[in-house]
Amino acid sequence: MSDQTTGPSPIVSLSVRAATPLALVIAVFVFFAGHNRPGGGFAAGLLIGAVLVLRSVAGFPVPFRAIPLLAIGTIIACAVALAPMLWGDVFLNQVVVEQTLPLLGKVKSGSALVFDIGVTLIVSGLIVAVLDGFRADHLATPPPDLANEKTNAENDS
Amino acid sequence: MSAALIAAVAALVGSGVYLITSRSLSRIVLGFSLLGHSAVLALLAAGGSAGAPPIVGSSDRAPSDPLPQAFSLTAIVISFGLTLFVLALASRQRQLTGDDLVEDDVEDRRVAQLSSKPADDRAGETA
Amino acid sequence: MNAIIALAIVGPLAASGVGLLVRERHHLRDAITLMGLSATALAAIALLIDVQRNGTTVVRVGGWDPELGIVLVADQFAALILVVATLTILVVDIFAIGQRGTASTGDQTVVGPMLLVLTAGVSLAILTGDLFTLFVAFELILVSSYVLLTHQGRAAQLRSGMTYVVINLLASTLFLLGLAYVYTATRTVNIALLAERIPELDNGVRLGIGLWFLVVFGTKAAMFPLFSWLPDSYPTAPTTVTAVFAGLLTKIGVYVMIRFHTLTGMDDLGPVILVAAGLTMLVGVAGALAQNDVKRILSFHVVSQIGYMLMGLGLFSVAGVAGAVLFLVHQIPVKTVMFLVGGLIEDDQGNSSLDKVGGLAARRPIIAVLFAIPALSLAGIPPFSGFVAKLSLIDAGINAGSVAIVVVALVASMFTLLSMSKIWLGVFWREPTPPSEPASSKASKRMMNGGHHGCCGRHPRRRLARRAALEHERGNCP
Repeated sequence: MSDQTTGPSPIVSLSVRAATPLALVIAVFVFFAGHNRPGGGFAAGLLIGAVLVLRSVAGFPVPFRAIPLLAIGTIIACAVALAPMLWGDVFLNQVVVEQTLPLLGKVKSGSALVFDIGVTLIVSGLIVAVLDGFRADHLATPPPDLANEKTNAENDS
Repeated sequence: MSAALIAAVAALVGSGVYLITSRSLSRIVLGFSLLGHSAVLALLAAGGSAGAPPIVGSSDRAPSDPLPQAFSLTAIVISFGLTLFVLALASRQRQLTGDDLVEDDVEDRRVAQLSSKPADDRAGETA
Repeated sequence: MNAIIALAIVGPLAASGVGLLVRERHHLRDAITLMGLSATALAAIALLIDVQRNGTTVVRVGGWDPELGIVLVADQFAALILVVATLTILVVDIFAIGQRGTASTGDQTVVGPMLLVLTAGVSLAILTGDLFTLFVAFELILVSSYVLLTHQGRAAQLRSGMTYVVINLLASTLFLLGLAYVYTATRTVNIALLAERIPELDNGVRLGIGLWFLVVFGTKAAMFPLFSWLPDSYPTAPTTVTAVFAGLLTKIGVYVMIRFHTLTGMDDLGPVILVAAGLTMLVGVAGALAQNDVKRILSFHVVSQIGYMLMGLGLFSVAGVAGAVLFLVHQIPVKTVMFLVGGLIEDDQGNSSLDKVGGLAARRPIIAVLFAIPALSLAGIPPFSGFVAKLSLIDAGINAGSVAIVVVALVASMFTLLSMSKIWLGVFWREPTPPSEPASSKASKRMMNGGHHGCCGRHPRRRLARRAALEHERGNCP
């Protein structure tokens, strides 16, 4: 973590600040490439997570909380899994849409993309949760009852 | 190619099992990373000989078997999550006890002492 | 039927997401958890009725070919176990909501959503038609169980949780290596296709696969000699969590073992399984006799009872497997109820050690009755379900000519009764032995700690303080 006495080094914080938008753009690219090339929701989530870890090392605060990300990601993924059954299809079936958009040309996409949004949210949420867990300021000093329990356990032995 | 892969699997399993017999959780985590890699390599070996990337129309050569690759990917994702979880456990243990060693079970020790003591001592023993 | 099978798996997962979002609003969260679990249980019942009427249902997830894709299969066995499992989890959740704030429930903001994830994993493990999805289902169950076991973050839970996590991670790795082995040999992981291809394999390879998965599933099921993690880790968790684990998780291992080993024709492994079964029964019950704490005694009984199911499987006869299934259906609710009663004892007395509680039959007759019924059933006394299940197993054993395992089963059954009467005497009948002075002060200190762990603290602390005073009084006038 950052050096408590002097604060994070300006070089680190500047380069992390410069790297953030680049990494996010790559995350977006990887996310959309995932339809039929290497990439996808998991890789994009990891990239976003990597950005968050870098920023947290450089002393920037984490802008999200973990649980809402995890929860919303789960709900989105489950909804996409269940949606095809509304029109009597097999569950987890996917719909592929192909159309020509202005500027982008021919774009092929499908319901798997929405599923991937859920995956991305879950993966980045997991990483935020782990960051919280490792920092865990509220756990840094064990509450008094825990300290007691430990001495009890030692007395028993 | 399989012989090399299988030798690598054997080496990884060996060192992984050695590491998880340790009491320190950080070593156990390292051991599991190695074991996870060994499993992924074994799945890769299960896929048979290497071929072109298993994407339809990407090459003229015969594609390699896509199923073990899908398995490996899932296994990697799962072991990633679990490694993080065990690391969090280790860090919590360090906060509580100052180290990350797995401790003995208090109750186990009590039962072990029971058998080595005469019966009339037992009343005070459990307290 | 597609919809119902999907609902049983994805439904609880989606509900856990919603439950996590509103986890701070207690009533809403509890309502969502209850709704999710009830919906899953209802789906399971509908599935059972449908399978009874129309036969086995198969769902190809995403419409893929069974060689490549995931297949979910619901036959009578799967649907039956699914109904029992989901109803059991529902009951435990109702208990958790009812006992909120006592030492026997964990932090409900975690327990509710995680029980839903666990339910999704259990449904997937029961309904899946291929080994790899089974692996994923096991991981889903394990991840939620790791969290349930350690979420309070106390030192004892962390210690036992580590044993549990490490053993299960090792079993999962072995599972993956076994999958690689099976895939190399047969080019498939679909259980229905394996049932065709494994019997055609070379004998050595076939038995290797059978033994490998016996070890993997045996670790999950706590079969001798792979059981030592169970009595170590279960008693430290909050009661609601232990009850679900004891009732369900090991049984899922047995269920999968019955599935895999009968379908792939591993009859040659019968003697090995029978020996393991006998040792599991004896070692489990012997461990229970050595223990002095209600939850620990019950944990060893979990191990011992696994032996009976393995016995039915090891006989590899129709009657034997039927007996094992019957035993499975009997064990899941009985074991869960026993642990819940153990939790009631702990809540009422602040402790579940046989030396520190006593005379509960007079003060809490309802708890005594609630304990007596599953205890008699566990020991196999008529007219309870345990008697029927054990009778059918023993009958199958005698018909198969395996007298030795029948004798072992009967001996273990007698010891079970002995151990149950030990709890009965210790908790409900005899007055507690007056503890010596330092022990009493330590016990009350520990009870005060128990009060702090409860999630709201207000209610239990008052109760526990009263109890601590009582205990103190007892210490002074022997």
